[in-house]
Amino acid sequence: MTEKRVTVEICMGTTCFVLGARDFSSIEDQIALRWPGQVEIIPVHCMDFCRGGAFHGAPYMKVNHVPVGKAHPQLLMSMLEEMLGGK
Amino acid sequence: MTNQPLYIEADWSMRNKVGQQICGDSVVARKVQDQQRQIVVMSDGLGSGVKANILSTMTATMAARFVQANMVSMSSLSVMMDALPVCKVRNISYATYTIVDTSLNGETRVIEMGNPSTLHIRDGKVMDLAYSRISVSKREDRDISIADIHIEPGDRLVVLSDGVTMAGLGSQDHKLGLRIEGVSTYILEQLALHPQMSAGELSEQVIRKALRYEPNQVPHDDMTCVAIYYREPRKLLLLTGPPFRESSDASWAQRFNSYPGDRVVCGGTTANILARELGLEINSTLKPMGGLPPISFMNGAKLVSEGILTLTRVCNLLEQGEQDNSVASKLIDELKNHDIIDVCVGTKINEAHQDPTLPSDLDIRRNIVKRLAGILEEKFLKEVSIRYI
Repeated sequence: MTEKRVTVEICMGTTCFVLGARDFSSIEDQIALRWPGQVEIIPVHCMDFCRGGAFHGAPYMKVNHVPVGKAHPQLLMSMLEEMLGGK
Repeated sequence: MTNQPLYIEADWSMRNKVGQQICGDSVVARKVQDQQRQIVVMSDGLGSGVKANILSTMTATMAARFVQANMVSMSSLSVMMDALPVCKVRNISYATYTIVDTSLNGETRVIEMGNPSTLHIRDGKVMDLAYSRISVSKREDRDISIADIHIEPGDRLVVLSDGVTMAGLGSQDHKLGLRIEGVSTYILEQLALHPQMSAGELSEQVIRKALRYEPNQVPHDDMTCVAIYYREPRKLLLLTGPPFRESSDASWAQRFNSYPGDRVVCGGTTANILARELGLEINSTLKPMGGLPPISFMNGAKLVSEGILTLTRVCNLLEQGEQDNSVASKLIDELKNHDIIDVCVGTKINEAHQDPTLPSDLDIRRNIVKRLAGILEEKFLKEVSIRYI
């Protein structure tokens, strides 16, 4: 069994959701088609990053445990493209 | 005789006669806290539509007030009938009614005028009600039946309008209609399969059964089924918002852990704190449901949802009497299926929600919880307590 190379955690908390995390709803299918078995998507109930005045960065995700602000599906796809390349 | 106070779960389902915008049957239910009583009245107004609705609403409201004031007498029942407006077409004023007046020690009085007999269900059987029949002076055609019964935990009473018992009458498939016998048999079957069925679910199942008897499955008369379930109370803890002081996190989480009932969590940080303090894992999904953030899962909680948006949607749906496919409807199911709802509100402000560019739905948590408690108490007769931490 191949170990997944990239882990993506996506925050689905209130602030992230209203600021765009809802757009990630079909990302799993897109990623599975393009990089089958290589990316693990982990929806997170809330990452709590929006506290402490950092909310202008929502929605948040973590790619290989590194926080990323202003996350959206296109950004994630381009990051994965850089990390994993084409098929 | 039971020494434990009963919890009385009363709920009902109704259908308008086909083509009518409003139901000609009415139900009024109220708790009289200081007297430890609950009163439920179902009235069926003459005809259908608005006129019937006015007759039944007036009757049910007057009856509930007379009963609450302990003023039920032949004269007060006559007053109720005399007060109704007279139908120009039929030149009479008429609305049937059934009154169920229960005290929490189980003593119950059932008063009926013109409705199908109330069903008293105990241990999988329909019990006989020992009615006394009394004629109202001036109104020889309107007998009143009164039965005094002692309710035991687990008992149920079911009150029906004739739209249910006469469903399908004269139709090709069910010439005799559903009748009270058909309803009784169906209820006993359902309760044998689901002994803990809620009052709301039972009343809805009865209405659906009646609709299946009707030609084209549409109601040819207004239909109402009121189910009253006497039982031990079901408790639910709703936890929303992180505690004001972080030093309270541990005790607050223990309160959640040791709560003697079901638990739901509404809020991202709220769930995170619980998970951290109790060593639990939260699993989520990416699929929003009905435009709200998705549901999550955590051991010990029947439901884990987002906080403010979900609670706001819950309030809106409850006020409008609607359901949708969101997590809010799942939370509504939990709220409806419990009797005593303890809400624990963390008062820490989430500064991220104060951004003016965010939707106005992100109201102060306390306001939403107060609104929710009001709806649950007034519309659904729940016992709600709110504790701020």
